Amino acid sequence: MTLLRLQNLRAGYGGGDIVHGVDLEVAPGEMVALVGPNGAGKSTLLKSIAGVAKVTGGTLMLDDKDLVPLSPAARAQAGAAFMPQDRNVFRTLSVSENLSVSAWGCKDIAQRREEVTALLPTMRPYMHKRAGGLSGGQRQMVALAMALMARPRVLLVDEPTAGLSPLLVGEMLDVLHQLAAAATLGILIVEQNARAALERADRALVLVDGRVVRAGSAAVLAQEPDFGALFFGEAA
Amino acid sequence: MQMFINALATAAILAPAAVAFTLIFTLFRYANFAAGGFVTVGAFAAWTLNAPLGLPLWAGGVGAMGVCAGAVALSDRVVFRPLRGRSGGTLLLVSIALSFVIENIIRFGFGAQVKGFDLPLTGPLVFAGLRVPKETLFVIAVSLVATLAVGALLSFTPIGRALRAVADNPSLANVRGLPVPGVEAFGVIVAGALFGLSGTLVGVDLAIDPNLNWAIAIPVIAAAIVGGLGSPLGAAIGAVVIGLAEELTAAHFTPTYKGAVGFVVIALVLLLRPQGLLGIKVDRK
Repeated sequence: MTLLRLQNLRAGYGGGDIVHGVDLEVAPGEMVALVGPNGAGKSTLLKSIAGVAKVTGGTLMLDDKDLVPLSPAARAQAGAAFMPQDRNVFRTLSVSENLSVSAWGCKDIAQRREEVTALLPTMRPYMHKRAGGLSGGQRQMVALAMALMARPRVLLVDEPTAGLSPLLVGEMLDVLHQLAAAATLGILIVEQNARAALERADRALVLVDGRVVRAGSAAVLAQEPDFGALFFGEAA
Repeated sequence: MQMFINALATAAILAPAAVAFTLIFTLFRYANFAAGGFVTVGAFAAWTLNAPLGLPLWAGGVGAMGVCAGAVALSDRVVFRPLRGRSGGTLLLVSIALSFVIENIIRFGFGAQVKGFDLPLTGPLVFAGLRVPKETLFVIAVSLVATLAVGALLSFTPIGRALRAVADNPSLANVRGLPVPGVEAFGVIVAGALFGLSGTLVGVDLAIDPNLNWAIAIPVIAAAIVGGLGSPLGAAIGAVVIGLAEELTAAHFTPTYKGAVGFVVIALVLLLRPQGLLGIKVDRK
């Protein structure tokens, strides 16, 4: 069963395509990593699914619903939750208010807030603090919780570990892996720490210049001898 | 003590409009200098409903809030929305032009005569040697209730939280599923209603003057800046500061200089504490 399906998707910001015909599928309970060098179009691909970047061609379906004509807000309501890399919390609102406002249209906001806090219990001590005063790691956790508030079908996560300490990188990716494994949620993640992401993801796609150049099991891709050298410039 | 009551009365008139001004600023990041024009629209709308049409003052006030909400929403739709994305300076200049247009429409429609509400004559309340007109108490009470109601709306209701979220980061609000245009429209209507309320209160405590525009715009903007742009509570506190400063000026210098108080306070705040009393300090990049 497929949750999110992209076929020959092209996207950009109005000045020519950055993503050139990507095919991709995410199933429920699956974590798929998008890796590749800087400027490959990974974030643009996520943003095009969320409606922030413009889809210029191809198919984009969530649960057999065409997302292309929908606004970003309507896509979020349809179940595609995007967690941006930065500026991803409402800085002047408390953490609790950030969660409440992210469940717009839900009837059981308090119950949902409790469920999400139970999933991410490290947030409990700072629920009433202003989000703008949190540390980087705390802020990323709140941003993830906000994305989960509206009971999404698929989570689109852009660089969740950017600016975090190495210890928190693993913690954040573990949380995402557990979320996918425990629920019917699909996760599509863009991550600069490619090896750390591949260790947790079920499948991975390597994007170079807006095209998928390799795809398959994350564990198998991570073992390829030329993986680092080809796509990240790492020493062999 | 008498001076403090007078200051509270001035603050009560300024506070709703200052909250409205800061609400528009936080939502759209521009200073709407047509604030005085909208307060004047509110004053004349309330007067029209009260004096020529014979409705009670409360009904005139509610009607004025509705008329002003419509006027501000219309100005947003016709004037400001097409210019979204332009610099704050451009929108500020446009709002100044709009204020002149509003002022002249009012002069054209109502003439240059000062008007007054059709209210029964009542004596002042006297206690502890203080003479407080009942109208002044009414103005202070209504303004306080309205300001607290807006504070409660913003803090404790889903639409209020949504309004603050959209003001904080509209693109994030969009991807979190909030109906951003609808929330913005709600904010504009609330701001318009508050301008209308200030207009009604001006008419109760002072007079309904077609030249009200700039006389009220400067202290309203000063109150919002003193409180810290973006903070409705700060705007209300700023209104009290401006009210006190105006009364002190009138008592110790001459009432002629009252009009300059707003400018002086704005200059002092920008020099000493640019973020205002309750505003958040933002680092310039």
